[in-house]
Amino acid sequence: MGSLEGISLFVREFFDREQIDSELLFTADFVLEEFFTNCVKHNPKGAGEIQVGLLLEDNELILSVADFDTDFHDPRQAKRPVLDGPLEDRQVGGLGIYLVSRMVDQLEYDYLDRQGRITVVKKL
Amino acid sequence: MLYLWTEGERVVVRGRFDHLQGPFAEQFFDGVEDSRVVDFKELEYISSAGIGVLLKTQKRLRLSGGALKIVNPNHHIRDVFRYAGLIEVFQMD
Repeated sequence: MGSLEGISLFVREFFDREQIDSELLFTADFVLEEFFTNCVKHNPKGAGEIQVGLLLEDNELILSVADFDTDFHDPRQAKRPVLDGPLEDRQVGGLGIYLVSRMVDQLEYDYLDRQGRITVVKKL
Repeated sequence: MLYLWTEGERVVVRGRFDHLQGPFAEQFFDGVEDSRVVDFKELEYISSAGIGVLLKTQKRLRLSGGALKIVNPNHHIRDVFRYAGLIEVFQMD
């Protein structure tokens, strides 16, 4: 999981190189941390390669996280967390994917032959 | 890196409250036994892992009549708490 620090550095280098508004750094970090940690949790061997990608295209920031040996885990099917009501009804986990969905413009999931890829689009 | 320390009734949080810092932060907040103002003035980033640590602490403190109150979040962090429906839970200003 120490790779999170490497991802954060990778994101900053990409933002500097492409001169992307640093206001979007929070969203990029949040998205990649959420999906990277989810991939690690779901990786059956806990040691498989996980690929993180960043792309700037047509004024859109495209973030992707791919796992090359995973069960099917479509984040779009995640249960919506409890967002109101008394504190005792709130769950400590399960917020991350919902929060990502509020922060980005598009969220896709592709799965084939045990390879899963989450792709997120954030308009600049 | 995440830095946590207490100044009187105030807990000051500095840096990045992410998944990597979860165990350290959980240990710190498990030691909080009374109401505290949690000052986010120097906190740059929080992920769902960080929110989970705070929510767990809030639930525990409420059982004994206490609470965490979060102050001075940056606008990104405030947005995340708003999306999560947690502004009132943490009495955010």
